[in-house]
Amino acid sequence: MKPKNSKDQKLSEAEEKEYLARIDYLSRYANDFIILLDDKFYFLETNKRVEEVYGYSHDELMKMKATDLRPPELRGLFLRQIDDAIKHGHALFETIHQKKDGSQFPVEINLHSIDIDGKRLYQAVIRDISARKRAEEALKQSEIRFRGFFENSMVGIFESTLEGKLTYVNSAFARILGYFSPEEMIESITNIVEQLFADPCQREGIKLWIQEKGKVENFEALLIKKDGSKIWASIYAILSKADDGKINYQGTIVDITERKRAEKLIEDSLQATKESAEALKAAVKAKSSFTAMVSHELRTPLAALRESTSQLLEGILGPINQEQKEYLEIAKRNIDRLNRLINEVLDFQRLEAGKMVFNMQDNDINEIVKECEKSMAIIAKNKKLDLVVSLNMNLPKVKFDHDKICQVIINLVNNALKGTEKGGITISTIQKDGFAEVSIKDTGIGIKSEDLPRLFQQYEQITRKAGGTGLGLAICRELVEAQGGKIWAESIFGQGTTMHFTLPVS
Amino acid sequence: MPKKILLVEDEKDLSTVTQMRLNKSGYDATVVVDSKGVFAVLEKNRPDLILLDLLLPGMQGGDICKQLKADERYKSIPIILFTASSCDLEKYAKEIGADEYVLKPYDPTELLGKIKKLIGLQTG
Repeated sequence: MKPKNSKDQKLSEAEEKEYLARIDYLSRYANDFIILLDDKFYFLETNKRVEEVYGYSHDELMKMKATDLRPPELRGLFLRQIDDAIKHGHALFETIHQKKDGSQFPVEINLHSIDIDGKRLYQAVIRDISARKRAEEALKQSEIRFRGFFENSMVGIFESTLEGKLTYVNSAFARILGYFSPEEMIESITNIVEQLFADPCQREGIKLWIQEKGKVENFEALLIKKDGSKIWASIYAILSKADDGKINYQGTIVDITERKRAEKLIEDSLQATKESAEALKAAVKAKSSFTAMVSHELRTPLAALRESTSQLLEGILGPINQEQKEYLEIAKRNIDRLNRLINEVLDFQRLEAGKMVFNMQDNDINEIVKECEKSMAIIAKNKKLDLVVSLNMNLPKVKFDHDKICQVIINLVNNALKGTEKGGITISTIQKDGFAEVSIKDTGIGIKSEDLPRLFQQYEQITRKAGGTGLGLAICRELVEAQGGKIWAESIFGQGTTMHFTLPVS
Repeated sequence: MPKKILLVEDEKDLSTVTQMRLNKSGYDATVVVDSKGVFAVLEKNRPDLILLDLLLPGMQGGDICKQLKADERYKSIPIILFTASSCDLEKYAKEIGADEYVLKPYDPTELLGKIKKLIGLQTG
């Protein structure tokens, strides 16, 4: 219907021309394609966009009809799709259009019928929905992929209402809880916490957590499967907003029954180990105090014995005659022997227990050798044996425990003196391969080669001649080795023995 | 006046011979057998030195030493530990504040030497 001016008169030619131009401008640059069609769906008018995109000229378009824009295989669908426009005035549908050059693109068509002056016209607004279609496809692919993740996940995934009714579970969730299918489970569980939790404390616990924090993480709970058996699960759940704005819970569970079992095993064996350690500690402590007690019990009477004998011998309690003196000297000798034996045994015990304390200082080996030579000189003289030292004056200082090494040297020299009838003992010191080496050479009876390996073993005695406990050399070895050195013997049976020991140079 | 030594030792035979040794060496030695005895003597007859056995009935020698060394009145009295136990005595003596130690069975020269070093021989 042509418009009329304000005076409701017909428009002048100029006015009409302007009006037509405006109509053209209205639709010329619209992004969508706008087509006016007659009742047979032939094009009456098209906007500029149609020419630009489809590639047809205006003249060509004026000779075309709607189905011409479709690829041949889709033309048959036309009438069915526009049926609503014919019958009810409007139809919205999708199809594919083809440009003049043959390229195709998906479109959405909004078709309205216009009835005017008894004539039927159609207006079609056509929109290129390629981008939308691509987006839809991407979304679909994404959905397929993520659905795949959810469904194939080993982790149980769930969604529930705020009241705890399950709205979604993946297969893993159903399987973990022993149900045939997600559907079966969703039907059975109306309240997750009440129905699945075995422990009332955990039930309350998870409710409180969720209330306070709005989520739980790594919440470990004992859950009840469909068949009534129980499993341990680690639960993650969080309040979340669904697409429709509703708030629900989403989360995951992992079956940790095996882990719990392993943890219990570890805990149990840890407990067992702890108990063993306690028992061992107690035993060691008992032995320690036993040792301390033995030490005390042996040494106390010995102290009383030694002092009373010494004081008598010294004449502190009055003069003694020669016979009394000799007898008292017998007593003193044996007390000293007893003392030595007890010291040997207790020392060895301490060495074995690792409780021997070493006072490591930089010392001069030659000085110690000279000290020991002085102490043993009298015994050597009494036996008419030579006692000689041969010292390397360039020996550097060595770190060792003075008293312990004295003990070693005296022990070795003592053994040498006891086992030698004529000739003498030579103590020498040399430096060799980063060690200070002390050698004690005697001209005694020597040791058979088959006996050499047993020499330093505890309780071994090559000959009973020396008396004692057989611990002497074993103690020497412990003392030397504890300070980083080595000890060994060389011997030729019938000619003599040389004992060697080394200590590392600082 | 001879210096006074308090010998804390519960083994009678040993305390007999040790007291004899100390007295014959010019000191005035008293024997007590436990911590009760120690505190009783400290009150009435303050010693110049204490020879202290470690293994005692009741309160142990180590604790007695610690207590005396923590007490303003008595911490100046030198204490020599007197014991058969040999487990790192050096370190233990330092820990509890003892001034010296001798091992049983003791060498009388060593014992007397240590006493002399700490308190001399006579008061005068």
